Amino acid sequence: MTPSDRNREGQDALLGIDKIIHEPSRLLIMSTLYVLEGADFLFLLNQTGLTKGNLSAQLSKLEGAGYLTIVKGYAGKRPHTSLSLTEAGRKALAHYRYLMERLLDDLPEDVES
Amino acid sequence: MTDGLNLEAIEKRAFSSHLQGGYWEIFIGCVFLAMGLYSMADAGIWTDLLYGLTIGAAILAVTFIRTRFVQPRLGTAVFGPKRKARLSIVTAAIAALAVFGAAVYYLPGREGDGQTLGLASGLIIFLIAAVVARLMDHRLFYVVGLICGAGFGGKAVTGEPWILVGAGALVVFIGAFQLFRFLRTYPLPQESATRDSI
Repeated sequence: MTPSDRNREGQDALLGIDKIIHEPSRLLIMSTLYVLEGADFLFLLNQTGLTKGNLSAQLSKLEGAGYLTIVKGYAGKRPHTSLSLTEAGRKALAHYRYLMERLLDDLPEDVES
Repeated sequence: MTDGLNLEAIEKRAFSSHLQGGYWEIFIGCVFLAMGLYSMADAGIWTDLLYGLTIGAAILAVTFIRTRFVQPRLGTAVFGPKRKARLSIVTAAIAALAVFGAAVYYLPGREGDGQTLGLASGLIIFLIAAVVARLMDHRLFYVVGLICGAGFGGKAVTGEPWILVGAGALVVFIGAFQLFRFLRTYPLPQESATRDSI
C-alpha cells in the first residue's frame, strides 16, 4: 500500500465518522449507556455532569437518530424516565470506536512541531 | 485512543458511585458491633434472638438509607451481565461468610482452641472482604475487612470483647462519614431535575 493509499483510507475513515456520536457530550452519554443495560435521567445527569437542559437536548437528538429508547413513566408519584441504547445505537458506537482507533492508531507517536 | 474511550473505566465509575453512600459499611459495622456487644451478654436463646433482631434492624436501616437518601440523589441504573455475575459471586461470598460465622459460633468444643480458630476467622473475614473489594471495585472494603478481621482476631486472642465493639464502631463511623460526604456531594435534586423535559 502506497502512502497515498493509506492517506485516502484515513480520509475515508474520517469522513465515515458518525457526527451524531462524535459530539463530546453525546459520546459521553452513549459510552455511559453502552456499559449499562439502562439508566434513569437522574443517574445519567450525575454521571455525565451535563446540565439538565443540555442532557435533554442531546438525548432528543440521539433518540431521533434511533440510537436511544426513552420510556417515560412514574416511580410512585414521581415522574421517571428510563433510557437505554437500541441495538442500532450499540452497533453505531462500536463502529465509531473502531473507526477512531484505526484512524488515530496510525498517527506517529512523536511529531516535531 | 482506547484510554480516551475506556468503557471499562466508565462502567467502574458508574458502579462505584452506587457504593458511595456508605450504607454497606454501616451495615457491616453494625453486624460486628452487635457481635461484640452480645458476646458480653450471657449466652442463651434470648441473646441469639436479640442479636438476630439487631441484624434485622440494621438491614432495615440500610434499606431505608439506600431508598430514601442514596437513590433519590443518584438515580438508578441497571448494570450489564458481567457486573451481575460479579454481584452473584459477592452474594455467594457474603452467604459463605454468614454460614462460616454460624458454624464457628455453634462449633462443638470451640472453647478448646478458641485463639487459633479466632485468628483464622479474622484472616478469612479479611480475605472475603478483599475478594468483595476486588470484584466490586470498592477499595474501602479492604480497610473494612482489615478492621473487622483484626477486631475478630484481637477478641479471640485477648478475650476482650471491646476490641470487636471498637472495630464495629469504627466501621460504622467510616460508613457514616461516607454517607455524610455523599449527601454533601449529591444534594437532593429539585423536583424539576427529575422531571424530564425531553
